[in-house]
Amino acid sequence: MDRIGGGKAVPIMIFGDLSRVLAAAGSTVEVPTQGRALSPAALAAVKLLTIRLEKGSKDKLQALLLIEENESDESFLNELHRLLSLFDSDRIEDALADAQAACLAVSGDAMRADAQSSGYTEMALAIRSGLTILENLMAPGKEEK
Amino acid sequence: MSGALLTTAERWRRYQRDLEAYRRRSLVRRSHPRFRRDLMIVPHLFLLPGKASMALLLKPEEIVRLALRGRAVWTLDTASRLVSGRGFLTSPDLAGYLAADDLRWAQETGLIGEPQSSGLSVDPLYQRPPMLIAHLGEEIPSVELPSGDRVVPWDFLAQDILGTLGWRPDLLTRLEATYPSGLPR
Repeated sequence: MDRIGGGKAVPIMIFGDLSRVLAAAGSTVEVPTQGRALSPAALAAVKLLTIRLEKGSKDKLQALLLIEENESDESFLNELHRLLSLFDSDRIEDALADAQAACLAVSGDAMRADAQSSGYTEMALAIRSGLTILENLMAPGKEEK
Repeated sequence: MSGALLTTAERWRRYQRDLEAYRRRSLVRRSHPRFRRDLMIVPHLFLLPGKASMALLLKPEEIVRLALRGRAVWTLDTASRLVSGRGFLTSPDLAGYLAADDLRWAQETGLIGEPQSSGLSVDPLYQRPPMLIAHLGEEIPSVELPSGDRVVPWDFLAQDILGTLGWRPDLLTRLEATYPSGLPR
């Protein structure tokens, strides 16, 4: 985002092909305090597909935690599957590989965690659960319900 | 990282740099023929804090392993040695899943020393005496070998390796090549 303010609409700049998510029906929702925001599923999809070296793993971890948080919400999972299916398979494979690598990085942190960072364990398990759900969702042959 | 706001042109240049790095990374991953298969492996944390502990072996490794036959489900290096005759770690430890009662029994019968939960590693940076590394109280699928030892099945071994050592396509390829075809996966 390069500028905030100056009218009702906030200008944003989107690099790459993430505009496909924004262009998809239902990818944004009206927020109670005015304006629109990405739906939870669209946010998870965007975070999985975002390309950036700095904080790239953080994007993937946020997505996996969001997926884990919504594991019992079938409409969220269907919507996430629909949005990710807008992208070709190479792109999804790379996103899954990045998510798996981020999960591995947190696993390493959890293994080395001391008493002060014991929260890592719980987070690592939630991230692993999110990755399991994502991989099942995007497994070959899996179609939207 | 600088907290200064970036111009559109600076953001674009940074994005192009990141895109190039991502392309290289993607190509490196895809250079391994098993990339697609391993993508679907969910890592399992064998050394999970709160679940894992390790204790010094007070008897030779073979005696401890035989004593725990039927109680332990071996994984990682120990499973690899039992299944294919070759391990992949330098440290001669025993690594497996155990019930807490069985770990206590092993301690009470003098097979192992006092379990400790800190400094856990399957790949120590310094030479240490052989240890029993146990993951406690989790129901794990197992395969019984003709010897009577129980090991995790291939799929679960791959999950444990990924969760403990990271993605190691070289190691997984070698292990898979030496994995007996008669064993259930």
